[in-house]
Amino acid sequence: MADYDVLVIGAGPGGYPAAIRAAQLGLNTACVEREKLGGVCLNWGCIPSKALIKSAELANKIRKADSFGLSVGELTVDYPKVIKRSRKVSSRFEKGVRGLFKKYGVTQLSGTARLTAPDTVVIATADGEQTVTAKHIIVATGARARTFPGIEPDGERILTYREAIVSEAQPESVVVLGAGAIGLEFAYFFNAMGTKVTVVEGLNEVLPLEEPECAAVVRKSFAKSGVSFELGRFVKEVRRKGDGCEVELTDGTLIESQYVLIALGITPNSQGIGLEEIGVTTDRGFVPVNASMQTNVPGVLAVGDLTTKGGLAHTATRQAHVAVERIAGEHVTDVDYGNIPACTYCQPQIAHVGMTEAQAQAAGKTYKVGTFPFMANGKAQGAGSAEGFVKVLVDEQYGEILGAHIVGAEATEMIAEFGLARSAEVTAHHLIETVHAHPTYSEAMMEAVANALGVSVHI
Amino acid sequence: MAEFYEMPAISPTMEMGTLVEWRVKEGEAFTPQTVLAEVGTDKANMEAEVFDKGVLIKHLIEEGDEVPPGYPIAIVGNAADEDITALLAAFEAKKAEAPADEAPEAAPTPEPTPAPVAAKPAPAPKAPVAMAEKPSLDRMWQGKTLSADFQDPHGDIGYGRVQRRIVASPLARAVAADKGVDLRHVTGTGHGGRITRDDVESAKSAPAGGTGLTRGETKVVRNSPMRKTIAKRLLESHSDIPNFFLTATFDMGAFVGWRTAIKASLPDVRVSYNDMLTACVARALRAHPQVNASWDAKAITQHGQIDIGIAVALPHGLITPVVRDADLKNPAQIGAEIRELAGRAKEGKLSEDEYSNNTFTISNLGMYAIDEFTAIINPPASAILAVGSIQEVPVVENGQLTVGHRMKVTMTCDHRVVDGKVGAEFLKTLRNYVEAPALMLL
Repeated sequence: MADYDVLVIGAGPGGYPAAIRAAQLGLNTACVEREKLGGVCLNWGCIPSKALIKSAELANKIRKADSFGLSVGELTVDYPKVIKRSRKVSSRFEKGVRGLFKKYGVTQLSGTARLTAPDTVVIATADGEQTVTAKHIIVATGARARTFPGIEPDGERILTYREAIVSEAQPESVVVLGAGAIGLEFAYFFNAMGTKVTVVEGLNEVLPLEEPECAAVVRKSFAKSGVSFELGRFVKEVRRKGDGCEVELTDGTLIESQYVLIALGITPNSQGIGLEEIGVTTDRGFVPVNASMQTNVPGVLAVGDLTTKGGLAHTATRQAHVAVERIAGEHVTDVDYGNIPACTYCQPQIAHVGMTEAQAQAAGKTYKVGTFPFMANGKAQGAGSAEGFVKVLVDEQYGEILGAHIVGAEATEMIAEFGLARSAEVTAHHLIETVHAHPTYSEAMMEAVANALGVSVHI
Repeated sequence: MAEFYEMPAISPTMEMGTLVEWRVKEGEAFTPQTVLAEVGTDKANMEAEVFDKGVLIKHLIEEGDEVPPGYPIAIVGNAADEDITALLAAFEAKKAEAPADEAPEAAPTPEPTPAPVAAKPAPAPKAPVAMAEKPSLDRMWQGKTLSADFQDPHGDIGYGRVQRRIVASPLARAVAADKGVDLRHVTGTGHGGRITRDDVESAKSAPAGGTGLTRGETKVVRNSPMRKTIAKRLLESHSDIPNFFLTATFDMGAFVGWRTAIKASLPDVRVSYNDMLTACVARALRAHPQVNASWDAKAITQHGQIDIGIAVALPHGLITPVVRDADLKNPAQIGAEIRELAGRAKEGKLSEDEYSNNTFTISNLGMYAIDEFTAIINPPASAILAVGSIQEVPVVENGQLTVGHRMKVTMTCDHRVVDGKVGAEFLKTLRNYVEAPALMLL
């Protein structure tokens, strides 16, 4: 007789919803976490970074106060206080997860878990080891910053997000390696705080997963506010030089700075937890799973960044729901990996769901493109945030929303409408027949779709 | 606002519709999908529904009146006491222009849809409500408007529409309309059975030709107007006519030889056994006017013209196009005419006079290897000949066992018109022609 029906390893945005949902469905559930409940997302990633970005946004708004008719004097940044605020936000959520575990009866186990059999986990703590068994084990150990030989953090000046997000020492200058979401969010934050920022990216455009013309809006906005870019060149090596650092690019260029932030993607936490020992297949460290999140070993499931299909907190959460509800025998549709929104929260924000134009072309789709600039949107103009635009790809034959791309002040809040349209299979015609409140940023989405159909009245 | 409710067009070729029965009285309220009236042609009856709620203010025509599609038959509105004087004036003007309700046969068929206004020399409107105005779509559903002018992309409104709501995503509906998938037959896998695009796609790619149903599936096919007419007429025939059956077996040796000779000598001539049999029946009818006759309560009418109806199967029903003056045509001419009529019948393009008023009917299931069967009389004819297959069978000739060709026919007779002896004598004559086709030359 197993100790638990479900044992979840890791309490991040994949693990803790899995545990709570399992408990809600009446399964006897435990969740093991070696650090803080909420994982990277709540403690060192998504949530505290949004707190920091809000400080950055405010700082930039205050700098423009005069244009709104307000005099506030000289802006001073109290960097440690900015960091402390974000820590407070994180700890509030960490406590929230603890409360939810209690409310739904999830047994919380602290320690480092290691699988010794498909139904057995050994949990190591300072006080010793504990062995627990479960019918279903969901591995949700997540991922960490990816490093390379010669590009490794030293914990002092060469950092990953993990150190940077808690450090109360404001860098004078920083080289951000990688222009993905994490890199650009930190670049935006540091720049707004008054740090000199250089972004290095091997590809020719920032945010390589976004529609290039949307990404260009972000890059130009950053450049205008003083961020330097080194695009199209990869990093060869990062060295300490005196009190600071030196970054060498593949073409021999040397960039000196006080700090370096490594933001070159993530690597899964799949080593040392017994996966190989019990026979779970991995692919370059990531764990392949089927539509029900099962690994090749019966009884062992995996969700989140650890899996070959992960990489985003909300993907992990959805995977967790599917995994647990299938365990409980509930009817639940597969995760639609083609309909996962991607968001970057700098200003201007950038978000998309569905296909880019390149992907639509590769898929052989015939589509119409519709765009609408926030320049022509009343709410955006009033807010003094008229950068960016909405772009949609509408299937020519059926009016399906193939892809939607938003760059602008509220892009990450807006993209949900397109996500819903796609998952509910709402077509372009229904979308423009939906009355959007005026004035709102959301009108721009309706107008972009109308533009694709050739019926926009504001463009 | 009050407006006209018009005679719906039951089929694209319908010229006149009869108001069979008012189902909603003057002053009565109706709700969406209420049947206002039963209307029909001789071939089909249909229930004329409304798509909105309102009140039937006034009937403009009476039961039994025949008017063209698009002709105002009632005034409907929001309240029984609405002012309809302008509409009545417009209706009077229309009546004066085309007195359809008084002399429908003589009246020129009014244009159901008027020519574009620009094409006309801008006439000053006589009445405040122009007759040319189409009924507003959001106000009323009329058979004509939807089935002819408005293609419903969901395919679940219009002919054979179902009342139950189909839960499907907009995209699934668009794909279904494009691929011609009937959403009523698609199983939804979404929440609550909601049909998604994938469901439509997989329904579309399901093995074709499967008219069979899977286990546990129930398919409800709403009766088409044609099916209703078939049911009505056959039931009337079956219950009103005192019929009896005469079965005979014909020696088909010479008949088969006849066709073999035609095919050998005249390879370009297409002629079937049924064409040849029709010619023989026509000749036999010429000799037996009592069989080529019709019943009504006052008298039996013997017809000098021999018009033979041939039962033709359609994908969703059957129809009996008529070969007129069949006794004056040879088998090849008869065959060509039947094929032409049957072809148009399958496209639904037969005019009414091409399938009505037969004096005798032939139904042949020989091609399905049916040995023998009985058929139901198709009035106003008084007899129908059910024809089985020509079979090679062992026969005894002159004391010797040999192989012969035999065919069984069964004639259903209306005993009020055709007595047993009359029918038997007719079959004897027919046998003469079939067993010795050379007689056809005389």
